[in-house]
Amino acid sequence: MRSSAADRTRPTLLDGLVAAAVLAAAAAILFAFRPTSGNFLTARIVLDNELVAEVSLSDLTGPVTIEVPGAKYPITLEAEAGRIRVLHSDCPSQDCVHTGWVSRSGGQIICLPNRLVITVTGGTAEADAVTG
Amino acid sequence: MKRIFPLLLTVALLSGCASAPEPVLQSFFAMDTTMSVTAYDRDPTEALVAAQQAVNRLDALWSRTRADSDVAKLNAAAGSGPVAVDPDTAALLEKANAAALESGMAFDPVLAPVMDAWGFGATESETTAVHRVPEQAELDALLPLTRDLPVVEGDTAALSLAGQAVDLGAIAKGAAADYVVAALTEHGVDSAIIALGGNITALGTKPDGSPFRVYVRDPQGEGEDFLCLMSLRAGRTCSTSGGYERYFEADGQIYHHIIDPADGYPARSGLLSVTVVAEDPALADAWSTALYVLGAEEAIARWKSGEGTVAGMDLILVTEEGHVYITQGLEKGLETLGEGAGYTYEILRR
Amino acid sequence: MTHSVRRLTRCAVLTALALAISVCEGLVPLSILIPLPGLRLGLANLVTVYALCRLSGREALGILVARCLLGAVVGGNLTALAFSLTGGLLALGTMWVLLRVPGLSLFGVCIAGAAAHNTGQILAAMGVLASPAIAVYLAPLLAASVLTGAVTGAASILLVRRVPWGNERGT
Repeated sequence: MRSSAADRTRPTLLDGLVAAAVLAAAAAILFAFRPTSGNFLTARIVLDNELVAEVSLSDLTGPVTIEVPGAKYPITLEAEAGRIRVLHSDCPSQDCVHTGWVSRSGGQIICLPNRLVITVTGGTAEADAVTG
Repeated sequence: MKRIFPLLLTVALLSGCASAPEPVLQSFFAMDTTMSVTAYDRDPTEALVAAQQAVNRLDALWSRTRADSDVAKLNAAAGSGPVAVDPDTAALLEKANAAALESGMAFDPVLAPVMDAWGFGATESETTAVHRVPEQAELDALLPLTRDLPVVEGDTAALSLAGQAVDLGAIAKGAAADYVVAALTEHGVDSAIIALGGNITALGTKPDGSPFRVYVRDPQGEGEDFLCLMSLRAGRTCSTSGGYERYFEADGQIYHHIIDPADGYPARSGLLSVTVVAEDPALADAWSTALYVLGAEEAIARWKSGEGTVAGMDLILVTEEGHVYITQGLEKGLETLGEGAGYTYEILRR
Repeated sequence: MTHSVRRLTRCAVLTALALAISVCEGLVPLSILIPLPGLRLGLANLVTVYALCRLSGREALGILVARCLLGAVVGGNLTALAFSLTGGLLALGTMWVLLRVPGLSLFGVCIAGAAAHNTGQILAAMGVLASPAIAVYLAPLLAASVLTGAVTGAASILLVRRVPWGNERGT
């Protein structure tokens, strides 16, 4: 039962391997958390200048529907892994519904009648804004 | 030595955090549209609040629908003499007048009476607007009101004819970018992307020194269909005008919101959209509308001439045939994305 | 009877020693020198190594738990108890296993122990603060544990060799 380790006085090759393994784990964690301005695609839902919800699109496994509380014209969002859209809106213009799915970082869905803006952020952003 | 190594490691790790601050996004509604400012700074909260306050102040000056705004007061006093306005309002009116004159009234800040007749007035966002096709007689009566630019003298402005109305909607959002940039810079932010209703302004570059990247929407697509991806160099603003942004259908025909001041009808210049990239955000905003009205041929001629405001800008012109003209200044960092949708691209050089 | 008294005394002395070491370590925190939350030399681990080598796993466990509980009572910090207990238990388990691997010296055992201790602490912090982002701190802590582990490893080799006290089964 007595350990051989207790009797050694010099580091062995295996000790080096242990140290290397620990360093490798450190490197792996650094790599996993490397600052890429967030690996997580997030949809920020802002109603009338107030943030009402933040949906982590990357974490979704199946589709979820979200009723935006307090919207002047009832509006329903649908989010699933990596993308979000306006499923239904009672607003007169329907621009928000026509926008369709937004999945890219920097993409926005806007419902002016509701003063609602959904911004997708994070992920590996190809662009910082959209014009037009 | 054993202690110095982790010390170095920590310093490297901490400095890694410092060099790449997370962007902070602020979205708000002003000027009948949505605005968002994304700032890269350790803690840009104060700067973002200041930016929003700056826009709110301008909105209170330049809104047509707020009874106490400079523009509303000016419109109410149309035909009955000058009213005192804020220096910022006077400066914007002068800038708008200059763009109107240089574009041969293709950009028209006093087009409001005709716009209102179509239902494309300032109340759009309140969704109370009723779109209709005005009678020719009605347009004939209104068009004479859209020819005389406001007279600006010192800090006063005047409209010469009763019934005239100024609407700065096609230049105010661009102009606001200057004030947002000033507010952010004052609070120490030197890297931000500012989106004021489709006008995108790059304050500095991204923290890593690379230019900000902007998608240009496909005027015929929807959602995430893009025409191209381009680099927006530090200090520049891009602004896009297209008939697809706001339109209505009547009797099987589509009427869009960019009215040609020449005849009071939606512009039929053969263009689907115009993107202008310029140093002055107000001019980018105003000229994207003007060039949409003027058409591709005139826009290219003005750019190639090497003289005038347009020659100092970069353009993306999309024709109804699906041909995309892009001026040479935008070539670097350009990524075309519309080939699948049938677009052809041409780089304009001079 | 004498055996159990000797064991009890031994454990009590070692617990007191471990507690004293960890309190002393708390007086001169390494994190002042290196601004890294949770970084310490881990000298209290020496006692665990010694107990594992010269006594038994069960006694080492008892000493560890007693040290952590007493440390929380002395320090009056229950959150710290969660951190030190998770870290300590994970380190104990890891070293208990590695001591049975032939070809390793106490250097390797202590490095792995230090790494396990830091991992446990971070896991506890993630649980307490409900924030997975804390895992970022684990990378520099793991790298540092190679050095702190080597220091405690060297110290434990001296300790285990020079203080054979309690090696009753061997004699």
